[in-house]
Amino acid sequence: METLDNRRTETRQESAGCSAAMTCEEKKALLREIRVCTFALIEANLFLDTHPDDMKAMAFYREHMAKLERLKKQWEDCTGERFSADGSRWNWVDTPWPWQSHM
Amino acid sequence: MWRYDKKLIYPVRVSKPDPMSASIIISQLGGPHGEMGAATRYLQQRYSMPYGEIIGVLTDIGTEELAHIEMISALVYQLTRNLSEEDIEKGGYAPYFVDHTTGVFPQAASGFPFTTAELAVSGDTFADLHEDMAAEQKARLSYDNILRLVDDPDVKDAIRFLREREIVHFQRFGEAVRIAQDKVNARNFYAFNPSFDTKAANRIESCK
Repeated sequence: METLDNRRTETRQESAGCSAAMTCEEKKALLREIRVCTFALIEANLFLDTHPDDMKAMAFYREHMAKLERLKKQWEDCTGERFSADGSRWNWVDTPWPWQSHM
Repeated sequence: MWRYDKKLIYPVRVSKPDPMSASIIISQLGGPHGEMGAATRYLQQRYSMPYGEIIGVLTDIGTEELAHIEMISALVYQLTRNLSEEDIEKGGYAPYFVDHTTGVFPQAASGFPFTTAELAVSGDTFADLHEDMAAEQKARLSYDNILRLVDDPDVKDAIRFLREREIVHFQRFGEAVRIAQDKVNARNFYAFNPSFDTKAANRIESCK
């Protein structure tokens, strides 16, 4: 029986901006950064709902949107894991689901 | 986690109020074959599902059902805009109106409120997937019945879109059954329950 687990090991290291494979701890740290940035965006979004004219909050929001894009690209380039899709195989279905991971 | 996209998955543009149609269509929000039950069923079946492809299907279809909840709610909202007291009485909307005014409450056409008693999370791979295929057919038949009862082409257009999605989802769940069958004992699909009887299904990934 083919399980999720033996396919998970086949993640590839491709292309741009990544010299060596990331260690587990590095992955954990980067994921934390992505999570922090995402949460900052959720908070800014909610704040802007009740403060739609706050230009400082708007700038914060835009800055973190751009930062999140960069972080996600870094994650995808360095781990070979996709948040959404992959080139050769839709490996979104191969990587652990949020409730299957302590990352 | 989820993020909200501020648009409907398919446009809902109803110009004529029609409380009679609203009181029928609301069943696809909170009724036995409705979208709220569908979203809850699929998203909650994910945790005991052992295969990534099928968790993907449950996640994506469950998420799409959330967008369908919004479409049905938009239909009910637009069909009950600017009602006069006379419209409410003549359209048979008074029993709903007395408790909900023109708010959009998840209930069946009969008035029975949304309940999870009409869906299943059995914790069994094949039982859940067959429940899902049946659920898509039940939603399809409710949309067929709605199409028999409503005349407004704007309403029918949105309902036809939703009906077609049920057929596509049924197809994907059929493929999910095949994917699951490929992963179990070919001589006896039911020799064990892959949602429960294998350790792989309950594995938690972490740094060593």
